[in-house]
Amino acid sequence: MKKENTIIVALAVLAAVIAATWLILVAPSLTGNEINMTKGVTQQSADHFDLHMIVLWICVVIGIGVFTVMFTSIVLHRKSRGHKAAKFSHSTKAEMIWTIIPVLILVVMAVPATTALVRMEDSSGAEMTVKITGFQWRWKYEYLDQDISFISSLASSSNTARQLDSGIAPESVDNYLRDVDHPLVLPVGRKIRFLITADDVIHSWWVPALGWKRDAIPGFVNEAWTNIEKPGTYRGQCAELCGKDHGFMPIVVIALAEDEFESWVSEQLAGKTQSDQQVTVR
Amino acid sequence: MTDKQQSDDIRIKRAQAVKTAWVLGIIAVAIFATFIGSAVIGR
Amino acid sequence: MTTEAIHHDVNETHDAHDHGDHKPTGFLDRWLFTTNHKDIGTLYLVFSLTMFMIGGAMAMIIRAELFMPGLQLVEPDFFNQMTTMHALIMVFGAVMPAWVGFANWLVPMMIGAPDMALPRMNNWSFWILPFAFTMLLSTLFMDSGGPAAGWTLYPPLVLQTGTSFAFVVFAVHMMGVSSIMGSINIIATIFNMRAPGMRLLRMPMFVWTWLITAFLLIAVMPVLAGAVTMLLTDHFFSTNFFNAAGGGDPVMFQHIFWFFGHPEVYIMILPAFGVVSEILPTFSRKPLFGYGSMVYATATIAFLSFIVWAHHMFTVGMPLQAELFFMYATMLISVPTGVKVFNWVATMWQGSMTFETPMLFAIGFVVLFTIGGLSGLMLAITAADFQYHDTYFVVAHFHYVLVPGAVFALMAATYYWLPKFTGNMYSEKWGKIHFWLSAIFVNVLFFPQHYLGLAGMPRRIPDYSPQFADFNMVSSIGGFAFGATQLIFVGIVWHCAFRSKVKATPKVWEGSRGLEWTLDSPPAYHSFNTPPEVTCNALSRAD
Repeated sequence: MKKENTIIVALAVLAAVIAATWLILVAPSLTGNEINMTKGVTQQSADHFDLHMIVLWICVVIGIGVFTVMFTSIVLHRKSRGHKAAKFSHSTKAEMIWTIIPVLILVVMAVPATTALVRMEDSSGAEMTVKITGFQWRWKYEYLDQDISFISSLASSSNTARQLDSGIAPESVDNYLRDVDHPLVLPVGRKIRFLITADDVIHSWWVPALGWKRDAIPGFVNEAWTNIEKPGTYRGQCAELCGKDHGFMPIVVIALAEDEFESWVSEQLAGKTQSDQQVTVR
Repeated sequence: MTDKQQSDDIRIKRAQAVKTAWVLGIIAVAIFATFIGSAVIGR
Repeated sequence: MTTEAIHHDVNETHDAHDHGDHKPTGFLDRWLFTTNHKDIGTLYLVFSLTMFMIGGAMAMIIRAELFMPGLQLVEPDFFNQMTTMHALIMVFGAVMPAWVGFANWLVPMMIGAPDMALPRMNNWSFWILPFAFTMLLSTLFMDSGGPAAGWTLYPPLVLQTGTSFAFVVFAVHMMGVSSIMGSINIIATIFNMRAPGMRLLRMPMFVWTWLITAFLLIAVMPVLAGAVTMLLTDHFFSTNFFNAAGGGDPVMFQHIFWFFGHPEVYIMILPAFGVVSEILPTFSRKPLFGYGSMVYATATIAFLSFIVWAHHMFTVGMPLQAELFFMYATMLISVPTGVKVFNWVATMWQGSMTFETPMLFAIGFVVLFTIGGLSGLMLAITAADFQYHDTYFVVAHFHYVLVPGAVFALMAATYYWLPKFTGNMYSEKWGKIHFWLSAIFVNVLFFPQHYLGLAGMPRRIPDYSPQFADFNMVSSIGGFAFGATQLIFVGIVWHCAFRSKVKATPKVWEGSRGLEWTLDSPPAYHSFNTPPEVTCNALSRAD
């Protein structure tokens, strides 16, 4: 086998491996479906997206390298082409190289990973606090500074359609399984601290656009925070198996500009004095 | 193959293997006891 | 000694009362009371194939319900029972017993021993399993249904399980006892029964990986037993180990469970590493590259598996220092795993390869396990895991390492050694059809699940928003096709065992090396009654 042939085959294999990678990592997005993590609307979700992309690309490059060498070998070093087996069985130098280089790659990955994690876990300097409690199968939100609290459950349209043999097409329901009766309303541009717990079993509070999930555990109060940069409606759902209706306890966050949020708060407080039991007792 | 048909060599190896098995079995039970025990004490 | 010489030495009847082929006659004597490692190995393998089909049928129900948004087939609670039982059966009923089955068949033959060290305990280890799984499966017919809290059995949810709870816990205890006895036997055999000259660092890789796996089992199965025992007392005897309402700590269960659970994933994959390290050299006609570093890499992976458990629970809210520690430790695992993959590629490099079915499955393993390993590296990154955790990205990851990982290695091992076990060749044409259909559909089944997870679909949900519809449908179609393809496998195995007219030679493969290939195909019922003399050129490694 001439050396030039090896190089030509390796380049052809490389092209094929890159094409295959494109086919599985890029082409599916052409169907119009979302196939990647959301960039989200917070610093954290941007951090986590960037981290995800860095590690993904490192993995893609490693994978392309390994598969190119392997398939080049599969093409060239086959008995049917009359290739004679070599005799070598180890090489300390090669093994040192493929131990040390991965360690270096890991160190490179660890730096942004550590930075993002440290930032995520720093919930100091919060300007308001919302307590989230998970129940089977709904969420309770308490605004500790505003004295507002309510329970948020799956919207009734989805709840009717999701029954076995309901005869209602999920596509005909607005935001099927992703809508609630009372969304969590939050201001943008304010550092909000969440205290997350549960009353019965473990749940997990997850809105992808905010960039994280955190378990709601009975007997524990977990801390997390967010600072939403853009007004909008963000949807998520319970992420930890919590019983039969685990798939039916969505989360909706409506992020409002500061002044709109304040008027929402005063509306809630006014409504509260009128019909107390409607919002607080259920 | 019955016990009687074993060669002496295998018989000796098996006797040794029984000892190995006892040690490993005791280790397994000890791990079980340690975990439950530390959970009891930890509370 | 040459291969031929060993061959004659062990297969000839050379003692008046020592007939190598003396099998018990009655059906019960042969199978229920057997102490023969080959028969027990067969029992394990048949049992595990049965469980693979039952667990697979449950997966078909899961994929059928997820075919379209909306609930069409089953109630959510039954869906949860299916995901829970599918996992328990595949992990404890299909993959683990299959590896023990191969260990039973191969370890004595590979180290030149006449049988396992403790044959009666070997019988008991196996015969516990059918009872354990009958009990586990029977819970599906109870009024309250089977367990539905996931195979991780997290309290407090699992404490809401009805009548079936005690049965599930007892079944897990029995599986644990079976695994522990099986591992004790394997270690006792490897330590005490090796033929003269079979030094530890001359053992075939499959024996090495199983030795390390057996130590992992002995270390962690008691931990699982302890965890479920505490669940049991919480449920029935009003203790409060994990019950928050009584001052218990639900997170402590997760720590204990995953202290078992992470080594458990290596228990399923290390023997697969061993099998691939046997098959690639055979069909590359070239010694395994870096035998020594393969052994040390396996040991390193086993050691690291004990200090990474909390990466399964990054979202429970641990201190920052703990999260950093578990992230770094988990990332480190990719170093010895990388060494293994690179060594496999180096084994193939400059070889003289042929592509019989075992080789195809082994190559499929290396490619697809690498993909699963790389997504595992992504999951190690704590901050990114706050997004990945408990989504279909995780489902895709662990199915990549378990299905085209562990299960493909099991298929490879079956095709590789079945001619040795049965004395007949399987149909190469159907083997290749089985491989290509499996390799295509396993990717159609699991690759789109990466997209679903990243786009925000949580795992363990029976119904989903229409935005996830397309890739769920693709995944389900892949699932049905992959499931149907495995029926071909059952047919191939049945044909090879009972119908095939093509007899296998002792060596079976041109490039095969190791003591098991010096025996007849099929080997005598009692092989290596006299230990063989072990020399370098009979071994699968180069000195």
